Amino acid sequence: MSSPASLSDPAFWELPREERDETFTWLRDHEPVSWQEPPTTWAPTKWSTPNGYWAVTRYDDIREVSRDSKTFPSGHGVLFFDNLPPDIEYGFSGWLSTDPPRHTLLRRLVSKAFTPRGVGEIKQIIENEARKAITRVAPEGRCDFIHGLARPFAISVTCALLGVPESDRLQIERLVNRSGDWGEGKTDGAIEAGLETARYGAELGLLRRRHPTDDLMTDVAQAEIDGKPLSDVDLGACFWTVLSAGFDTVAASASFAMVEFARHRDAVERWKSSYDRLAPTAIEEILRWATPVMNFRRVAVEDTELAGRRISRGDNIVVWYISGNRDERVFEHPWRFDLERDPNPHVAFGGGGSHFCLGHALARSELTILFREVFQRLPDIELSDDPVPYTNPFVETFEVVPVSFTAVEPADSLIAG
Amino acid sequence: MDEIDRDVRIQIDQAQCVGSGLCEALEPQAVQVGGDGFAHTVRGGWLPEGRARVIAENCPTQAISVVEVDVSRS
Repeated sequence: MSSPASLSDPAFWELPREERDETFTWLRDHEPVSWQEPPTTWAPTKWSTPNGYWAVTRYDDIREVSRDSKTFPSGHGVLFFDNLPPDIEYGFSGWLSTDPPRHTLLRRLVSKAFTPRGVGEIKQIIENEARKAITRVAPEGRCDFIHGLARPFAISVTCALLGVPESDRLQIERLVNRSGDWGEGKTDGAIEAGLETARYGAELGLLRRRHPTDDLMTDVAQAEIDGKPLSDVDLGACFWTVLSAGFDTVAASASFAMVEFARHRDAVERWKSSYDRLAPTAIEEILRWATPVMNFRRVAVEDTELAGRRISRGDNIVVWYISGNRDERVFEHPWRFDLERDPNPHVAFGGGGSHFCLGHALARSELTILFREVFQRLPDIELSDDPVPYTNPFVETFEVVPVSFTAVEPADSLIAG
Repeated sequence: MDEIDRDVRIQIDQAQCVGSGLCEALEPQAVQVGGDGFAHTVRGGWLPEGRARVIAENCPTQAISVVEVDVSRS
């Protein structure tokens, strides 16, 4: 390849993933920190036009930017387009767009629920939701793996954790679907749907403050920072942060795995035959392979240098995790999907620093439980047609992932449980 | 004694800790995230040096440091 495509060109995102990966490889080799045109097509149109940014594509540089929150803070926004006003950015990006010390105060309100022990306490909920999701599709013999199984599962787990009543889940699912529908003429509506979901979360928090139950929103609603309860806006931001981060990520990762399994039947059979032993490395490789959250932005608050490039105060820096997770400098044979890869220091949960994914243990647990249940109940599940990718430059996922399996009658699936 | 096998004591800088729980995932016997959202050492935070280095390297905010080496068994 002689010259790389622009990451802001919508045509680039229509390319198959393999071709896009070639561009990232070129950038890592020749221009690890490259200037990109403003992502105009993807940005909302309601406010000023967005600015360009430095694209950071090497693993080490991604880690450096992620860990240096003094030079590259998050408080000026983290989405790859930079034209959201601050209150809208906070409403839509939530706690991701805050900096220490405030970020630390907010995050510690919920961190215990997301540790391995905290997640262990809701293992039964995760198992139940996985079984319910599978039982719904089992008699059909086929389904769209992402929208028929993985996504409903991840939505149910996240809603159960937050305390969204069952009766509201359909409404939440619709809102969240809209919030992820980005593109020309669509991003404004997506932002509005995200803000509406946050407002729902704020109301739920206020309700839980008056009528506490046993869920995350109750904990947050009852908590205080500096002797004061959280504002409506902070409650909504908490709800939206957890919700929006919680299910496209898991659903996309599971779907990438499903697609890749078709090409690695032997490896999958080996995993099935000693599921628990291989799950830890298999799940990490699925996360590396999928890298559903492709990027986040930071802003340089002083003149600095990155990989030999002069960065000016005020410049946007976008770190591309999807590229870091294919960096040949770190991963041996990065193009090989290896369920036994070890070590696997991927950046699917971010490059470290205070914004390291809050939900890492939850995501790992959800994926481990989901595939255990899927392999047990639908043992011959396989891709039945070409998957349809969802093209956008932020969350790498699918429109449709057709799978088929031997149908299981409801009674059978209950007995199996 | 091998440097990897000797026991060391770790300390957690609470100004840096964000309670990610990566340390707890790796060494639940030595460190746990408490109700205050921060990681705390358990039983003094002693563990073999090799494993202490692993959790220190894995901490996303570099909040874990090795502060003391057990010399009683050297």
